[in-house]
Amino acid sequence: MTEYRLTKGRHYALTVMYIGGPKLNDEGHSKCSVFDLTFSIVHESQLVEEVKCAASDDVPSLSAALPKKITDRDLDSHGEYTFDKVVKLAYPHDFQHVEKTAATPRTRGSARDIARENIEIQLEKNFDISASIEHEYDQALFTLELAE
Amino acid sequence: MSAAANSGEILQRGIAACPEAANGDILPPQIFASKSATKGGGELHIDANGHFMRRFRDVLFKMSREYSEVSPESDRVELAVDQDSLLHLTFLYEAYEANEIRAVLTDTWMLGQQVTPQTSFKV
Repeated sequence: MTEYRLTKGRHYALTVMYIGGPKLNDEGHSKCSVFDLTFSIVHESQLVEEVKCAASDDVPSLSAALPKKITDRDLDSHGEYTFDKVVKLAYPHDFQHVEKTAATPRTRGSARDIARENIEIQLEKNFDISASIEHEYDQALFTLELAE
Repeated sequence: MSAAANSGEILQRGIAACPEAANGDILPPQIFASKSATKGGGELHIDANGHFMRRFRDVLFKMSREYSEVSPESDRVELAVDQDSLLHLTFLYEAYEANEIRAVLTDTWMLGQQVTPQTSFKV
C-alpha cells in the first residue's frame, strides 16, 4: 500500500513497472501473472467533511467501546467472548495517545501513527485470540496489529 | 515504454498466453480531474464528490522475455487533481522469486520530479 499527497492543479504520471521474469510451471513452461490494483483518489477537504462525527451520532468511539478487561465471567456458554461492533475513531478523544513512530526496517520503511488500546485478559485456561478490522473508508488508511 | 510494449505487442502476446488476463482490466492511460475535464468519451475521472475509486482486476503483469531492472515493461497512468488530494495505491499479487511491481509517481509539471510517498508498506 502506498499513499501520496497530490497538490491542486498539478499533473502527475504514475509509472507501474513490472520487474521479473516468466514464472515456470512444473513442466518448465512459462505461466502468466496477473495482479489487482485498487486505485483511490479523494479530495482532502471532502474526506475531512465525510469523516466528521456528528454530535448526535450514537456510534461509540473505539476507546470507549473496547472492553478494559476480559475475565471468565465474560465468556459465554461455549467458553467464547466476541466483540463485534461498529465503532468510530473520534477526534480528538481517540487520538490523544497516538504515538508517532519513525521509519525503520521493522515498519518497512514508513513512519506511522499508532494508537494503542490495552485489554487485560484474565482467563483460567489457555485461549486463542483473533481479530480483524474492516473500514468504511479507504481500506489502506488503517490497519490492526495484535501484540501480547 | 519499450518499442514492443508501445506497439501493443507485449499486451497481445501476454493475453494470448494468459487466459486470466483475457477478461482482466487494463490500466487507463489517464484519470481526469473532473468530468468537465474529460473529452466526453466516458473517460475515468474524479466524481463530483471528490472521489475516484476503482479496483482493476486481473491486470496483466507484463513480463519481458528476460529479467531486467534497467528497462522493465511498464504501464503509465496520467492524473491531475483540481483540489489537494490523497492517492492510495494497493497492489495485490502473488509474489514469486524476484518478481515485483514498482510504482513511481512523478510530477510532470516539475520536470518529472519523483513524488515521495507519505506512507508505503508491504504485507
